[in-house]
Amino acid sequence: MSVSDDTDVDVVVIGGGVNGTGVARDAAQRGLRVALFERNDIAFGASGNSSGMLHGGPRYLLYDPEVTYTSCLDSGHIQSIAPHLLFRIPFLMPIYASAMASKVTLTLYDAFFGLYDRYQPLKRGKPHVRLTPEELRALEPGLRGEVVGGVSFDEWGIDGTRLCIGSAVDAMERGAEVRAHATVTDILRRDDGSVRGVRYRDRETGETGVRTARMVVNATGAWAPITATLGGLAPKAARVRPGKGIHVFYDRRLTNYAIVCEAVDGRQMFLLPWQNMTVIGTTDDDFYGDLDDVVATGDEVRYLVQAVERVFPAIRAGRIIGTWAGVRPTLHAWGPNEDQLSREHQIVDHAEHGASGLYSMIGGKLASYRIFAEEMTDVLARRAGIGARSRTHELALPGGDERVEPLVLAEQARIEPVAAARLEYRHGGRSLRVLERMLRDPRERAVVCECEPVTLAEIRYVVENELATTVDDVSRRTRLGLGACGGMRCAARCGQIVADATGRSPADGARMASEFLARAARRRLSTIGPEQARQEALALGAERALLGAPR
Amino acid sequence: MTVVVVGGGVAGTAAAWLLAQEGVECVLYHERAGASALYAGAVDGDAPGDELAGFAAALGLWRLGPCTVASPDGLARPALGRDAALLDLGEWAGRRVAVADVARDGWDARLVARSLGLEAVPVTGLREDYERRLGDWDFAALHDEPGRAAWLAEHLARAGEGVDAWLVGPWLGTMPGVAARVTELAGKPVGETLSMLDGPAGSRFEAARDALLGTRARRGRVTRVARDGAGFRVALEDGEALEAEAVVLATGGVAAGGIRLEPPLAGHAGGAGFALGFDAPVTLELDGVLADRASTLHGVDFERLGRDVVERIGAVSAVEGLALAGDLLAGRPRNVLEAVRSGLAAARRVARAVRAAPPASRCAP
Repeated sequence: MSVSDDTDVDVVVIGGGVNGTGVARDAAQRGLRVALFERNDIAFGASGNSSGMLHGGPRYLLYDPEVTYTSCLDSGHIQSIAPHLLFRIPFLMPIYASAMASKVTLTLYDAFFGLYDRYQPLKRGKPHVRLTPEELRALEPGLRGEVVGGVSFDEWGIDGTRLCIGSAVDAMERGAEVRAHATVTDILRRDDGSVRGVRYRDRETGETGVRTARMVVNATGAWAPITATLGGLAPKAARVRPGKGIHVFYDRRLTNYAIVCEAVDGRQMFLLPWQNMTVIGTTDDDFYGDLDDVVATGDEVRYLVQAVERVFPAIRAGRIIGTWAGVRPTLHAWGPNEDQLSREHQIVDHAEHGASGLYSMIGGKLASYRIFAEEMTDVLARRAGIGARSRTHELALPGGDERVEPLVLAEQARIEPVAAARLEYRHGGRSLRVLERMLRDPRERAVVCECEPVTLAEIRYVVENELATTVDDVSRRTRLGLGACGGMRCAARCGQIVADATGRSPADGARMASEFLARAARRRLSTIGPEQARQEALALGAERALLGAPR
Repeated sequence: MTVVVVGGGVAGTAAAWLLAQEGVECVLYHERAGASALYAGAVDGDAPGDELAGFAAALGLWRLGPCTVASPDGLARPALGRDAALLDLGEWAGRRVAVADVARDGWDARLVARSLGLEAVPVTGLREDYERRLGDWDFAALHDEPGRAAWLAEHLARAGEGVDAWLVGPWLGTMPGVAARVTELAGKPVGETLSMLDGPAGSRFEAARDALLGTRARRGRVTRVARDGAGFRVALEDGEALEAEAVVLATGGVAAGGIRLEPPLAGHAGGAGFALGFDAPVTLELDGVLADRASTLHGVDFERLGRDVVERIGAVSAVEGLALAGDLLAGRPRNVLEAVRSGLAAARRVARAVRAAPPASRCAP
C-alpha cells in the first residue's frame, strides 16, 4: 500500500541503531514505503556497544517502575520473535559484611528481588533465590571477601548488533531501502516548514542523492541534536544527555554466573559471562567528544577492573582483548547525576518547532526498543492515515521462525560443532542458508576466523545479505577478529574476501584489513601492559612483513 | 668468551657471522621468537650492497633483487628480495602461472587466482582429510620429509600440463631446500606465497641461522648485562654467567626486546615507567619522551603514546664495547636489509674494539 505517490517514500528514517531499524521494520510491515540512512554502520553506536543484555532493569524498579515493566514485557516479546539471539545470564549479587547491618541489607535485597520476581514471568525469568555464603562460594568459587549471603536473579543476554541486523534485513525484505555508510546531509523542508525529504551522501562512493518523503524520523541516538540541525532546527529541539559507557572484555568465560559488584564510588557494576567471553562494565559519564570516534580510556578501564577485582581477584590474571565504548542517548535533565537519569523514552514532534512531519526519538533502552519503535510507528501510521497495527511482537525476526539444532547443522555442514553453534546463534533458522552455500561449495566451510569461529560461507553471506562492505562491518556482524588474536590471523584474509565479493581490488582489501587492525589495536591500547605490548609489537611487525606497507 | 651477541634475529645473526669472519670469538644467544622469526619471507630494504650480498650468500636462504611476491590472500607486492622458496610473480609475468587449488581450509586458490589474474588448477595435495585443517607451519613440516615432498611434486607434475610455473601456499618445508627439491621433481618452478604468522618462512630463517653459526648459536635468555671491569658480565636465566669483552645488543624494539618495562611502583627511582634489563650505563629514550613523561602511576602510557611506540626504540647512548643492532637502534621499525646492515656495522665496531684492547684481557695467561 502506498500512501502518497508524489514522494519517493512515505518515511525516511535516519539512524541504523536499534530504534531506527526497529521503526523501519515496523513501518515496512504496516505497508509504509521506507528508506533508512545510516551514517556509519548498522549498530555502530550505543546499540552495538551496550552491555549486551535485554535486562529488566531492577535498578529502575524503585523510581521508574514503568521502565522495568516495559523492559520485562518487551524482553518476553523479543524472546518469541528471535529466540536464537537470547541466552540466559544468571546473576549473583553477593552482600558483603560491613559496618552497616549486612543481614538487614540482605533481607532488604531479598524483599526487593521478591518484588522483581513479579516481573520475571513476563520475560520467562526464574524467581530469585536467597543464598548463604557457602552456597555463593559453591556456585562461584572465585568470589572473595566476607560475604554474609546474597541473592540470585535472572537476566537475558543478546547480541545487540545481530538484533539491529535482524530488523534491518526484515525491513529490506518487506521493501524498505536500507543504506549503511550513507549520511544524511540535509533534512529538506517546504516553505511552510513541513519536511520534504532528505539529501544524503554515500560516504564510500561520494555519490549524493535525494529521497523525498512527508515524514522523517530522527533515530540517531546521541547524534539526535546534530541531526536536528540538519533540518535547520536548534540542537535543543532534540536534546539528549549523552552518557558514555565502556566495557572491557576478556578472552574467555571466567565465571559461570554474572556477578554484581560495587565501584569505588558506590556505583553498581557487573562481570558477565557473555557469548564466548567475559565482559565487565559499565561506566556512565557525561560525554562531549566526537560521537564518531568514541574509545575507552585507561582510567575508565582501571576503574572497572579495580571494582571487579575486589570481589573476584582472579580478574587480574585474565587477558583483556578489547574494549567497547558507546554513548547513551539519555533523556535530558539538568541536575541529576548520570545514574539517576531516567531511562524512559520520548517522541518529539517537531511540529512544535515548525517542522511538521519531523520526529525525534529520544532516550530508551535496548530492552524496550520494540515498544518505542511501535509507538513511533503508530504516530507515522496515524499521520499517513493508515490503520494497520504493529505486529512486530508476533512476527519473527529473520531466522527467528525456525530452530536449528547445532549438532545436526555441524554434521550436515561438516564443520566443528562449536562453529555450528556460533553460526546458529547469530542466524537462527537462516543458518540453513549459510549451510546451503557450504553444500553448494564445500570450500566455503573453511574457517577464516578461528577465535570465534567464522566460516568463509558466513562472511560471503553477510556481505551479500546483511549490508556488510568492509572488514569492520563483517566483524560487527560475525564477531570475526574480536578474539584473542585481535584479527592478526583473519583480517587480511577477510579483506580479500570482502574485496572480491564487492568487486574491489586486492589493494582495497589490504587497506580495509589494515584499517580494521589499527582500529582494533586502538581499542586495546588503553588496556595493555608490558607483556601484551610485546605481543602487539610482534603483531605489528608481522603485519608489515606480510603487507609490505610502509608505515 | 670474547663477544656475546644478544638476540637471534637478522641483525644479531649478521653480527655474529661477521665477527666469526673476522676471527673474533663470539656466541649468540636467542630465546623467544621476534620479528625475524615472524617475517613473511619477503626481504625489504635498500638496494643490496656487496657486504650484504656476502652475508646473504653465506646464509643461503634468499634471492636478492627486485621481485613481486604474493600474500596467501592474493595481494601482490614488490620486495627487494625473497626467500628462495617464494615465487617471483614478476619473473613469470605473461606466462601461464597456476595457483595450486589444494582443498585446504583457509587456502582459497580461486580467490588468489582471481586477485592476481592467474588461474586456479586443482591439485591433490592432501593425503589425509585432517590435513586440510592443519596450520600452514604444520602442513609445511610434512614436506620436510623427502618422500612426501616427492609425492607433492608428482601430483603437481600430473596436474600441470601446459603450466609454466606453480604458485602454492606457504607449505614448502620448515627447512630450506624443500622448494628446490619439489621444483626439480615436478619439472617446473614451484614457489610459495608469503607466510602468515603461522607460516614456515621464519622457521627457515632460524634453520639457516643455526646452520650458518653452528655451535655459536645457543638458546637461552640473557637476563642481565653488567659492566665488569673493562668488559661485561652476561647473566643467563639458568644461572650461568659469561665474561665478555664486548656485547652486541640486537633484541628488537623497546617492548619487543630485552628491555623490561616495569611500573614505577615496583620500586624504581625517578618515576620512569620502565627498567633496563641491561645493567650498563645506558640511557633510553624515545624521541626524548619515554624516559621522562611517558609513564603514569600505572606504568607506561601506551594509550597516549600510540600503538607504534610498542615497536619503536630507544637510542641507547654509546658505551665502549657495547654495540647495538637492529630495531633497538632505529628510530622506526627496520626492515630485513636495514637490520642486516646495522648488524654488520655493530660487528665491525666491536671487532675493532676487541682488537684494540690489550692482549692480556683477551687471553688467559
